[in-house]
Amino acid sequence: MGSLLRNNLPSLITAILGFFFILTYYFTIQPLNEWSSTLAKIISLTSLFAIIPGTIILIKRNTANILKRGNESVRSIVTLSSFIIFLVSGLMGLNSAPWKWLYNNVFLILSTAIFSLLAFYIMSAAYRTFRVRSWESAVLLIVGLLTILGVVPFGAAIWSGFPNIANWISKFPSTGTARGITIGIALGTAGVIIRTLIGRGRLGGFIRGAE
Amino acid sequence: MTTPNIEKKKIGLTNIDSRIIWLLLLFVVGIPLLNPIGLPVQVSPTTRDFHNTLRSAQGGVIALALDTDPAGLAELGPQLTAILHLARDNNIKVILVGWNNNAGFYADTYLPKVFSDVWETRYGIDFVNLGFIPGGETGMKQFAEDTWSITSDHYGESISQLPIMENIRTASDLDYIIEFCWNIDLPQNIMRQFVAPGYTKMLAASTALVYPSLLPFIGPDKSIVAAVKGLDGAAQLELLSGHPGEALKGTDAQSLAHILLIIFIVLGNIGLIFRGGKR
Repeated sequence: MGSLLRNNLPSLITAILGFFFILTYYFTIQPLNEWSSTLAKIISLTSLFAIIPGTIILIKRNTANILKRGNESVRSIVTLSSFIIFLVSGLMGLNSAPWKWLYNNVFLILSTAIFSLLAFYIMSAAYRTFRVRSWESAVLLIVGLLTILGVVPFGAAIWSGFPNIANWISKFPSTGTARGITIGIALGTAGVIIRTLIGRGRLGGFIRGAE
Repeated sequence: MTTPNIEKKKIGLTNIDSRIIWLLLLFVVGIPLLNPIGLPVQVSPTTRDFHNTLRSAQGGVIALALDTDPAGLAELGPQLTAILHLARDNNIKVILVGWNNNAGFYADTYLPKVFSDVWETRYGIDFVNLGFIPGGETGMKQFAEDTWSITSDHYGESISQLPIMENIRTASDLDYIIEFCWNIDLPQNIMRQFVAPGYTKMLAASTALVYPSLLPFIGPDKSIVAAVKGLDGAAQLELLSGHPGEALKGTDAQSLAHILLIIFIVLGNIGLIFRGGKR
């Protein structure tokens, strides 16, 4: 019975809901479509409950790290304190001054700053990797340079033809390649979904507990 | 006494220290941000299409789906401001919403940049911040089928108290939904839940990184009618809307950073030629 609940029930629920949503997406069958709308609302609401196990795991894991007094303890203290500060200010209301200050001056700034570091790494990585060692790398380099010159205002100021070249590159070779990749991904995804729905895929195994 | 045999790292054009590159980049980006140079900006056909399409919704209602992480705001933030200016100037009502949990806060930050003078009198009539809708793609389906299913806006005001929402019962009452694309998944979800079932048409405001993945879907007869790309697209929109802002300042820094990148790539290759093509 335990095995049935752990292994087969999740797969069964996934399959039933999956087929149900596919059916109501492609066909208008009342009252199935109405049920589908109600179910969508329930699922949206249920997804919010994911925050509960997330919070429990965060507190449990970081408290354990602090109690161990190991290398991770400082980071865990920072994580837990940030969590508590944001939680308290959030509970004061999403329009409260402390929450807005923390969000705009801490969260947004730090998130953007971390991502902007990427520009520095890309610069040094591009310098080290864009070396012409073969015909293929020469083509890649030329196309890359033409695209850069075509999209930045400086390129157009040098020669008005650069934007047209960049536009052609993005419209034809780039779109064609992206289309091929997209079709490949779509076919692959369809395959994975079908295998999951019939309980034969890796995801199916994962849902069942990856025995 | 023997000296230790320390192998000295060769410093040349092929092996410039990363710290020098980073320092130069810092100057090249920082200086034009503080003192904009004003390099000329040329409007691309792509941005012009987006601008014309958006203006065609004059007098209508559009939804802006703010589905980005904070990191995407460097490019998408100026795009959002320019789109809000265009909407205001063309009498287009805007509904800000999103399936990223930051959506409500972004709207709260960017709406006042354009509507601060009329916030008290026109909020809920010309513009509204519906905030974050949970549930991912299922949440999109829910909103597309029944916009009133979310019951209140970001500030807790009931939907029934917002005149802008009076005639917006499903997504088919919207002229366009503009997706702010930070990755390729969410735009595809919008295509599946809003465009494929025929509710409404889609426009995309995307980061330069995501744009190539969107290319197969962009066109007058495709899922994404028109799109604007990256900071340069935002600068072009600012020019077209007649409201110069952050993006035009940022393009100078972006241009100079790209020039520096080209210089380093060229230097690296010159160094390679002098070393006979060896690493």
